Amino acid sequence: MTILKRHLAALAFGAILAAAGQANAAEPVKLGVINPIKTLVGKQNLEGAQLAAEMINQDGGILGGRKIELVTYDTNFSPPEGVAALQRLLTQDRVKVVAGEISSSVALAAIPVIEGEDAIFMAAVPKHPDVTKSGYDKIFRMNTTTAQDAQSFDTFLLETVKPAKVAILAENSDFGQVTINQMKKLFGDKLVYSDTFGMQQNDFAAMSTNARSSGADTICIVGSNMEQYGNILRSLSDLGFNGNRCLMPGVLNSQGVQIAGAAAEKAFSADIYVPSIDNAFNKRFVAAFEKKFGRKPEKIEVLGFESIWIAAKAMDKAGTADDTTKIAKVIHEGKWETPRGEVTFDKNGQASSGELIRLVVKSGEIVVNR
Amino acid sequence: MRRILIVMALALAVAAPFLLAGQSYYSGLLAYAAVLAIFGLSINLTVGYLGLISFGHAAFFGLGAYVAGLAIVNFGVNYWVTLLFAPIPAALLGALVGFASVRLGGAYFAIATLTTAEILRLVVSNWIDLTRGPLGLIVRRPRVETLESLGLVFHQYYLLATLLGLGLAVLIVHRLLESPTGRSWKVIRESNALAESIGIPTMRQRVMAIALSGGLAGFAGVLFIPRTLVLTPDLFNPMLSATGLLIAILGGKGTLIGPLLGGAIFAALPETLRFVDEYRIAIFALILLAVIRIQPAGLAPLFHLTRPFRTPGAPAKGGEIAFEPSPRLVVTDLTKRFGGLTAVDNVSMTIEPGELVGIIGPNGAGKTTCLSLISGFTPPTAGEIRYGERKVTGDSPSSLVNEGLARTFQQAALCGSQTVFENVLAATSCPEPASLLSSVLRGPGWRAREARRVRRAWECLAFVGLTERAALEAGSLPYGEQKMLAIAVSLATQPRLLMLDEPAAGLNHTEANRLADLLRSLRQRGLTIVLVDHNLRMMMALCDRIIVLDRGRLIAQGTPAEIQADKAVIAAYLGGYTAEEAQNA
Amino acid sequence: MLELLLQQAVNGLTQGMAYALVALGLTMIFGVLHIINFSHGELYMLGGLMAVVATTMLGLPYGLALVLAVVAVVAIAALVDLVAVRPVLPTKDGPSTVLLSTFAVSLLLHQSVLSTWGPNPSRVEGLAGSLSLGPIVITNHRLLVLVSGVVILLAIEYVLRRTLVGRRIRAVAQSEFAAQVVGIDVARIRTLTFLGAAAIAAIAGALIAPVSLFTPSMGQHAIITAFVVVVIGGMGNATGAVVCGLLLGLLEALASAFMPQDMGTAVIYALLLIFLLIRPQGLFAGRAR
Repeated sequence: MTILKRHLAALAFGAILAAAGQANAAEPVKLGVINPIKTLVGKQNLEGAQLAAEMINQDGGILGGRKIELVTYDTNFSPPEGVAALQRLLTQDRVKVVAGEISSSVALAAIPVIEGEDAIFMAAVPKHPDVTKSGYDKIFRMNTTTAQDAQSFDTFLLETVKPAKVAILAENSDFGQVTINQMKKLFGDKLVYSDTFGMQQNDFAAMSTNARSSGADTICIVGSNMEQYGNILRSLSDLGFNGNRCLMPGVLNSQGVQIAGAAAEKAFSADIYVPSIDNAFNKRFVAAFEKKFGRKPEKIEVLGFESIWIAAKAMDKAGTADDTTKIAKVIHEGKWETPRGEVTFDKNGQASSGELIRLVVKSGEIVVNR
Repeated sequence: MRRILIVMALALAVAAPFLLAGQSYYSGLLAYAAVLAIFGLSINLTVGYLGLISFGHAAFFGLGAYVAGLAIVNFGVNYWVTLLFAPIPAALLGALVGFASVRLGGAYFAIATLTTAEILRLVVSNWIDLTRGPLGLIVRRPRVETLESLGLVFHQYYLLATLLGLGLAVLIVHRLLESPTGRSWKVIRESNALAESIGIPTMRQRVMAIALSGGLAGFAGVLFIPRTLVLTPDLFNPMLSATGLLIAILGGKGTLIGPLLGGAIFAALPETLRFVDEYRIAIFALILLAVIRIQPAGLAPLFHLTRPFRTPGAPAKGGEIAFEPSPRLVVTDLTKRFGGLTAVDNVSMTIEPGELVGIIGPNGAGKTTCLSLISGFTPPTAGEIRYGERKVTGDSPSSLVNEGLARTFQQAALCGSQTVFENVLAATSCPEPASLLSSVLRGPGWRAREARRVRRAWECLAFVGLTERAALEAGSLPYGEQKMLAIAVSLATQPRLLMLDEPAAGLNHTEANRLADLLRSLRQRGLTIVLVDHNLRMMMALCDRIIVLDRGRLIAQGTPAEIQADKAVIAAYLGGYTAEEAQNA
Repeated sequence: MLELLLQQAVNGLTQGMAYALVALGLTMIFGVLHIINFSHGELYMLGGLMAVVATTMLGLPYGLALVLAVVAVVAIAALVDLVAVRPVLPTKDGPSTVLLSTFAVSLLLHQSVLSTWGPNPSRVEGLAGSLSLGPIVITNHRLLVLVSGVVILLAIEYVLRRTLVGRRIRAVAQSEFAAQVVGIDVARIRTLTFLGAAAIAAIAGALIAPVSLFTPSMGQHAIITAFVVVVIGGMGNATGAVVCGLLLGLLEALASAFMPQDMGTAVIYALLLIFLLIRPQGLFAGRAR
C-alpha cells in the first residue's frame, strides 16, 4: 500500500516535472527554409532539411528540450518572390535563421534583407562565388564553390586522367562560366574546343559532333541539369565517341545516370558525398532518410540536412535561439559532424570537408572510384 | 465623390511608408505592387488603347533595368539618377519594334516583341564581358544618408519612391488620354482607315505610343532594381511579359485603374496563396480563362471605377463655320489595275476652287476607286495628282487631310461606342494639333487650343443639326443621323476640298433634301465639294459640273444640261440607268 | 571539315524536322482560323508525355505509342477547342482574345503535367541502333524522325490538294465568306483543322521524345522557335513553314561549327527582325498554299 502510495507520489511528481518540461518545450524554436519547392532539386533539398528537424526533435530538441519547427516558403527561382518569402519569414514569422535555397540569384537578392534584419543565412546549394563575398559575417554556405572543387579535382585530371586534348561543353550559367575560365587556365593549349549551351537546349547532337571532331580524348561536361548532361552523354554515345567523359564535380546523381542509361557507363566525376560513406552518423542518416522517403539521399539532400542540423546544433551550443551574433560565432569556430564527415567554415562562412570523393558509373550505379 | 476617392488614395499613399514603419514585408509587397502596376500600365497602352497584343514587354522592362544596372556598376552612377535616363533606351527600342511591326497588324507586334525579348535574353546571357552573363549584375542597396538621418528606413523611402513613380505614370497616361493623343488612340483602335481619314498620322501615333509604353516599362524595370538587387537574363523571361499582359487584362483593358488593380492582385495573390503554392499558376490560368469567358472587360468595370465621357458645355454663342479657299486639284492620266482588271483607266480631271462637282456612273464604273486614289487610300498604278502647286501622288491619307483634302466613306465610319461629341472632337486635332509633351504639361497655350477644339466640335455638330444628340453613343443614332455625323466629323478637320462618297444612299426623301441644303450651304461658305452619288435628281439639281465614268474611263463631262443631252452618255449608260434612277428617286 | 559539316547537316535536318512539324500545325491553324494557338507547344509536349506513358508505364511497343499519342492529344485538343477557341472566336476582338485564352490553356496544361507527372525528365526508348555512312553516323531513331516527317508532309500535301476535305480547308483559308456562300460548314472545317494540327504536334512530340528526352517544359521551348519559323515562312503558308523549319535546324547546326550556339540563335532571331522590316509578308508570300 505504502509502496503503491510512494509510487503514486513519484508518478505525480514526475508528471509535474514533465508538465514543466512541456511548458518549456511548448515554445519551439522556429527556423525558416526557403526553396524552389516545385522543382525536383528544391524538393530534395527541403526533404533533407525536414529530416534534420525530425532527427533533432527525436533526440530531444535543443536548448534543454525545445523542439525545432520549420517554416517553409517557395521562392520559385525568382528573386522578388524570394525576397518576399524572406521578409515574411523575418518580420512576420520572426525567425532568426533561414536555411536552404538552390538558386544563386535568389540567394544574392536575399543577402541585403538578411543583413537588414541581422539574421543568419545557411545557404545550402547556391554556387555563385559572390554569395560568401558580401562582407556580412552571418552568411554560411554548405555547398562547395567551383574553386574548391577545382583544387581537389584538377590534380586528379592532370595526374591520373592525363588527357592530351580536352573539349568542354558547359551550360551558360555562373557555374559554367566559372568552370570554363578555370579549365582554360588549367589546360591552356590542350583545351581544343569549348562551347556553352542554353539552360533550355535539348538537342545536343550538333555540339557533341563538334566536340568529337575536335579530336579531344577527354570531354568535360559542365551541366547541373541532369536532363542536359544525360542527353549529352547519350549524344556522345550515339556518335560512337569512346574517350573519357568527365562530369565536373558536384552534378552527377542517380537520376542523371538513369536518363543517360548505358551511355553513362564509365563516365566519371567527383563529389562531397555518396550515400555509401562509412561513418556511423551517415549510416543513421541514410537509414532514416530511406525510411521516411523511400529512396537513398544524395548530395542535395545532405546539403539541406546540414543547413538545418548545423544551425540547430549551434543554437544549442551557444545557449541561445535569438542572439545571432553568438550563434554565428559558434558556427564559425566549431567543427561539425555531418553525414559527409567533419565540416568547418572559413572566415567568409564557406564550408569545407576535405578532399572530394571520386566517382564513376559502373553498371548503372554511381560507385566510388578507387 | 471621385475627387474624394482620389484625395484619399493620395493621402494613403503618402502615409503608407510611415504606417508600415516596422513592416518591411508589407511595405515591400506594396512597393512591388506599384512596380507591377506601372508595368501593367505600360502594357495597357498597347493592349488596351491601341489593341496590339504584346508578348515581350519584358524586353523593355529588362532593358531599363540593365541600362541602370550597368550605369551603376560600371560608372558608379547613383541609382536614383538612373531613374531619369535609363528608361530612354527602352523607349527607343519601343519605337524601333513598333516601326518594324505595327504596319503589319496585331499578330506581328506580338511576335516582334517576343522575339526582341528573346534576342535580348540571349545577348545578355552571352555578352559576358559587359553584363557578366548569368552571373548577373549585382547592385548594392541604394541607401540615401540624408533620408536615413531623418529616421527613415530603406524600405520606407523605397516604397515612397515607387508610389511617387506610380503616381507620375498614372498622371501622364491620364493627361494623354484626355488630349488629342489619347483620342486618336481610340480612333485608331476602332479603325485605321477612319483615323487616317480624319487626319491622324496613324503610323506615327502608334510608334509614339509604343515608345511611350516601352519607356514606362523601362521605368518600372529601374524601379524594380532595389527589390531584386541582382539582374540576370531571367529578367527577359516570357513569364514576366505574360504577367504584365495578365495584369492589364485582368484589371481591365483600356482603363486607367485596371493595371493598378491587376498589379495589386499579382503582388498580393501569390503571397496570400502561399498555402496552395503548388497550384498557384494553375489557379491563375483558371482565373484568366474565367475572366475571358465571363468578364472579358476585366475587373475595373465591376468596381464602377471607369468614368463615362463627360461632354464639355457648349459655348453660349454658336460660331459660324467658314472654309479657306481650296487650290486647284489636277488629276492626270490616273490608272489603277487590280490584277488583270483595270478599275480606273487614264482618267484626267480638274476640280476648280469653289466648284461642286458630281461624279456619276453605273456600278463598277470606278467612282469609289477614283476617290480612294485621290484621297491616298489606294496607291495608283500610274498617273499624277496635284493639289495646288504640290504633287501629292503617294502621300498618306492623313497628310492629305492635313492639306485640306478630306473624304467620307460610303458606309458611315464612326466609333460606335463613343459619344457623338467625342467622334467630332477627335477630328479637331487636325487643325489644332498638340504635341505629346504639351498634352502632359498642359500650359496656358495648350488649354487655349483645347478650348478652340471644343468650340470647333460644337460648331460642326450645330451645323449638321446634331447639337441635341451630343452626349449619345454614336452607334445608337438612326442611319440618317449617322451619315450627318460622318459629315460633321469630316468638317471638323477643317477641309478645303471635301469628297463625299454616296452621302445620300439609304436616306429617305426628307433626309436627302436636308443633305442637299447642307451641301449648298457648305458651298456658299467656300468649301469645294466632289460628290459621288446615284441620286441623279439630286445631282442634276445640285452640281455645277458632272463627270461621267464608265468602266473606268471618263466618257463625258459638262453642266448637268450638257450631260443630259450627251449622246455618248445616253447610249453607253443612261439607257441602263433609268431603272436605277427610278429606284433611287 | 567536310565530314564535320555533313554530320552537322544530318543533325540539323532532324532538329529542323521537329521545328517544321510543330510550325506546320501552328501555321495551318493561322491560315484557316486566323488565330495564333498559344497552346500548340503544350500539345506537342503532351505527345511526348503519351509516348513516355505508353512505352515505360504500359509497356507498349513504340509504334503503338505513336498511335496512342495521336488519339489522346486529339481528344485533349477537342476539349481545348471547345473551351478556349470555338466560343471565344466569334466575340468582339475574337482572334486576339483567343491568343489569351489559349495562353491560359497552355499554362493550365503545363501545370497539370507538372503537378501530376512532376518536373522530372524521362527517357523514352525509340528505335535502337545506328547507321554509319562512312564517317557520318545517324541513329536509327533520327532516321525514323526524318522519314516519318517526310511521310507526314506528303500525306498532308495529298489531303490538301486531292481530297474534298482538303479543298474545303483551302477554300475556308482563302475566304470564309465565300466558303460559307458555297455551303461549306466553316465551323466544322475550323475544328477539323485544329484537330489535324494537334495530331501533327502529337506525332512530332512522340517522335522527338526519344531523341531529346521528355520534359514538361519542352512545349514552352518549342513554341517560340515555331513562331519564328511561322513568321519567316509567311504566316499561314504551309510550304514556307516546312522549308523554313528545316532551314533553321540546318543553319543552327552548321553555324555551331563556327560560333557559340547561343550566339548563332541570337543572330538568327535578329535576322528575323530585320527580315520583318524589309519583307513583312514572309519568304514565301504570294504563292498559293
